[in-house]
Amino acid sequence: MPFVLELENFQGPFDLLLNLLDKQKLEITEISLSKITDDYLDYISQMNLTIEEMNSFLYIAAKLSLDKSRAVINIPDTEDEIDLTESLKQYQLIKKQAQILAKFSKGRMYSRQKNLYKNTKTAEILPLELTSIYSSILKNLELSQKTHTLKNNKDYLDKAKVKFNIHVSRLREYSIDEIMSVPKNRTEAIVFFMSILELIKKQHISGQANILIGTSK
Amino acid sequence: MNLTAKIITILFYSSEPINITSLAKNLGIKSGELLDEIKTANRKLSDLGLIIITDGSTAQMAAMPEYTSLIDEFYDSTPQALSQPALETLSVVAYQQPISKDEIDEIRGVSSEQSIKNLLNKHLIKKGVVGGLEKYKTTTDFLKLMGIEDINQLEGYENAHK
Repeated sequence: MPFVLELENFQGPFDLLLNLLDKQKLEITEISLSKITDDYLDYISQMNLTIEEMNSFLYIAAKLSLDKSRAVINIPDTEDEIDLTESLKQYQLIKKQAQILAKFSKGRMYSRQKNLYKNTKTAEILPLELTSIYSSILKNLELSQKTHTLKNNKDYLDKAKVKFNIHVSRLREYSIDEIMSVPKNRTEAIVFFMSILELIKKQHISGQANILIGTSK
Repeated sequence: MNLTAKIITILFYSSEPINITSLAKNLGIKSGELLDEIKTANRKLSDLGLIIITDGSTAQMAAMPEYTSLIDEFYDSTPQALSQPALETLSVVAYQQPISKDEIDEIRGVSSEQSIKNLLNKHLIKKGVVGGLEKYKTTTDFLKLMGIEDINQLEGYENAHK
């Protein structure tokens, strides 16, 4: 799991402020922040932000404007005001520490993997795709092409359902092949398969393919 | 059977991190003794390219970083992307753990909700209760990602915790 750094737009107001200070080669001080306040306000007025993001940027804009106003008029500090220079210094440290993590991650380690298949990829699977996999299993079982009707034998179907529940409850993760190797006949196989679809529908289990959809042989 | 061999055997069998307290109890020793035994085991395992890593509450066997490229090549593994917000959030947790969501948000100046979810899904951080508050810590998967045996080996960690 190595890092691949994605260079995105500014992650928040602190990121933008640090960038503006850096552009003008300014240290993190109250005077420097006062110098870049207008740039900050200009920048955020052009940004495409969600309401939640806008909230963070506007909070800092208000704080910057307040601090700038203090240079000309006497406005007392309030208890819940943040110390912007301290917050920026802390954020700057976090950015440096993030770079350390990125550097360390090049020496990553691996541990044993569950259900590891060589040259396989994983992908989310949809019920329709699961149906396709099931069709290929039936084909492998060399079932005849003629249509069959499930006998309406409630006791028998209930027993098959119980058998399915007992089997899957023992496992935390299992492959479709593993489950479908248990039914002794076609009726049980259908009950098992329908039960899987039902559990996926109710979100009691989730499905994952060990092949890329559309590339299966 | 000697104790080191027992520890190695149990950890070798599992693909998941094993709880230190449970393992120590099972082996009839204290957690501190188990952590010492893990150091002994690591000296023996290093010749085999293996290592036991621990985040203090769990332990897991892994391949040493020198063999990562071999595994990448053989299993054709693809690096997973970690976005800048997630990386920043992970840094905050790594250097200031245990830490609450509010504290992370305050340090980053933005909401970290999505990044935290992302890191939890990747098993790089875990949630626990410290002093009645929900707080986040790094995991053994994080140690594997960093290629270190324990968190103290992370550059700058001790300074951050002084």
